[in-house]
Amino acid sequence: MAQKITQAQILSALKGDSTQTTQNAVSLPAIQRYVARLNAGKKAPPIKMDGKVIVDGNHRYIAGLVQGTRPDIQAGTMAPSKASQIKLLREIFRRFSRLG
Amino acid sequence: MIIIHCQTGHDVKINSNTLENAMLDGLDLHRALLECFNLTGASLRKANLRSALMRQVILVKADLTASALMTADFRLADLRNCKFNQSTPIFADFCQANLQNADMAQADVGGAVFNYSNLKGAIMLCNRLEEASLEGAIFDNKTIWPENYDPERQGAIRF
Repeated sequence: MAQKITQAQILSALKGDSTQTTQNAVSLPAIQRYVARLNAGKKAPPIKMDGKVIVDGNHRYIAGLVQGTRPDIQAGTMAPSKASQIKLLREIFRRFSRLG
Repeated sequence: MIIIHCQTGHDVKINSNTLENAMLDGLDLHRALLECFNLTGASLRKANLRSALMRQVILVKADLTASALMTADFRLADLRNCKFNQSTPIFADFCQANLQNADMAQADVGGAVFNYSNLKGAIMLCNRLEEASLEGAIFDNKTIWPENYDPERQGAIRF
């Protein structure tokens, strides 16, 4: 069985990355699941970005960064009400302990 | 017919002229754009509302039992008498929302933000409430907290 990606590996992969998000947190288990799929040769669905801001696909983006197979990017539109919540993706990486 | 657009690119078609009292149980509304929608009395049991944008949404007397609400945006929402039992609003944003008489029993609120919300009469018997932020939230004698939980120590204000 393949070893699961760790929080430290993800933080290392995000070091220096300038991608932004409006989301408050991401789930470590969700990222691990996407990495496992990529390792199995499956292609992730495209993510949506508005400039440098991820609109949909935070977990897929991080998984691709860690595993080395970045997802395709489609244009998305950020909700204007979220403009005040833009931050660097690497700053919000936390672990959802009970998301599964 | 009402079409709910989602930032995932997924559209959800509802065969009705209103979302008030709508039956939306189990629907996939991941990243749904529901800002300012009126969903009074709607049933959203076990719905997937992860990262849904619900700023200023009206969910008075709505039923969100066991719904997935991770990182959902409920800022300034009207959530009076809303049922959140066994839901998962992990890292959800309830800033300035009106949760008067809402029932959050057994909801997982780890990382959720209730700053400046109205928690009067709310049932706050949530899981991981100690990991939530309650700065400036107001509550009253009818608000029900877990045993040994001190809301004022977390920044909430008795009103």
